[in-house]
Amino acid sequence: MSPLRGYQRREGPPGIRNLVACIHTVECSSFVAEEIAGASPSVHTLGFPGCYNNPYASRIMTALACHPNVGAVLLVSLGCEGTDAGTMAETIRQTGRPVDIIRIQEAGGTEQAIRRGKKIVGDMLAGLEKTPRVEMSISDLTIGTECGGSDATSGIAANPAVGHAFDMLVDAGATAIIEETLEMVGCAEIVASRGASMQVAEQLRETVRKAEEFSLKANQSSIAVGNRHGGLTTIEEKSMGAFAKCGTRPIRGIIKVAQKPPGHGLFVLDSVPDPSSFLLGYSNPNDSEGVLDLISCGAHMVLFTTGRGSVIGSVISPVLKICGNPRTYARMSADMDVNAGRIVTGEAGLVEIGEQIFNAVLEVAAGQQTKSEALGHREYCIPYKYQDVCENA
Amino acid sequence: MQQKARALRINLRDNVAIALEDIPAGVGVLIEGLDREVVIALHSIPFAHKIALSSIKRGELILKYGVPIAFALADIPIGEWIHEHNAKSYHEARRGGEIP
Repeated sequence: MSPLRGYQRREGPPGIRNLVACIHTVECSSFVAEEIAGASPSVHTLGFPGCYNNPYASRIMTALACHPNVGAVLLVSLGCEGTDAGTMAETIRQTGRPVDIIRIQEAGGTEQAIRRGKKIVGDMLAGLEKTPRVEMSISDLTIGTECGGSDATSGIAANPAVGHAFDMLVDAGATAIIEETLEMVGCAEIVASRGASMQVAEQLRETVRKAEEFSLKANQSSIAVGNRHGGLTTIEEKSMGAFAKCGTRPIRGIIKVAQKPPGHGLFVLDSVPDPSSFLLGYSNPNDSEGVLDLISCGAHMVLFTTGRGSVIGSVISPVLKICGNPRTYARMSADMDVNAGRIVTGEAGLVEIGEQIFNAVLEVAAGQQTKSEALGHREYCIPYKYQDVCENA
Repeated sequence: MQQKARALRINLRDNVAIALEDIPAGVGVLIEGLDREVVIALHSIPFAHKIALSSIKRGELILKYGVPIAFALADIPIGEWIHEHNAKSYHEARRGGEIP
């Protein structure tokens, strides 16, 4: 395995991709942003649809703009929305990234905005070609994990195999993040016992308690009849099936959306809304939103497990898909990076598939495209949300 | 030589394995992750359901992923199917006030 060579950033870890982020700060500017980005694989469009100011949305957009995989940023604003593109641009500029703003109303409308935007993005792409490459080690990598389209094989094959890969990554010095605190409701004490200190254990209990309270209010999830037919006897068993993705190493702390883990090792991402005067929908409205939360915390890549079959990728960071159901894999292999269904058919053990996932992480970090990346998947979702944050960074 | 069914023990501490196929009663089950260990299925066990790898007394823990995921409601012999009829959630029992 040749050494990894990342894209150097003025601050923070190197990137494994070198992208221009073209960010619309309201739905009204999304068409213009998409037209500016065009079909270039190196320009990723994302944004927030809301017109009313939402500090959470501004925070996550800014964090994504300052992600290691992003080298330059164009903000596309209509001109009268609540999100303050100027403040965002100032924060992004402080990280050393080239940043520009187009305000469609000032530019004179659609055509002028697109023309100017294409010129700016063209110049940014030319500039990115000069980004210095630096040697990078596994300890520079941050890897997230998430599941979607789960079935009975998820807890048997794909999730424990990813857990093995997570142990290998953490042992090699990487930073690893698991989300889905709602799934931990049935195994809160087991999760807490994984805390690296008494303090972290108590924070984990509190975080899972918050998730449970939110889910009761939002009438979200619990163990369903289908789960029972699938062989899951208890909520603990279902919860552990999802939690198995994060392996067995100590949990060093808890972060919220758009916060960087304060060190190496395993962290839990709390993406559940905090209590506020608004109950803004579900905690994670879909898989792409959860994946983007992980990426906003600096994940270079996301390991996504599925059983029924998912096809999603993401903006900014590659999504590596691990399929635990051999029949689904046979049907959708062009969307899947790792066939963990071989555990179910007896062709491979958990450890072997875990090692295969670990090696795939290194290959993707070295530049190899994941299936969803090569297919052009660029999903993203930023909803209105409320989270308390203590600004300690 | 009778053909054997297959089940997977996920963690070395586990006292259950997960059926990797629909297993009829009376069939020998090869446990993956354990050398050559064979358990006779006492009951038909559907795909992805649990089979006991040791005898588990009433009240004892059922371990999967190396951690307790339930406790036994009755004595469970080796090879028995484990599901809601003979195992229960601690989380729910605690919530329902059945155990402290």
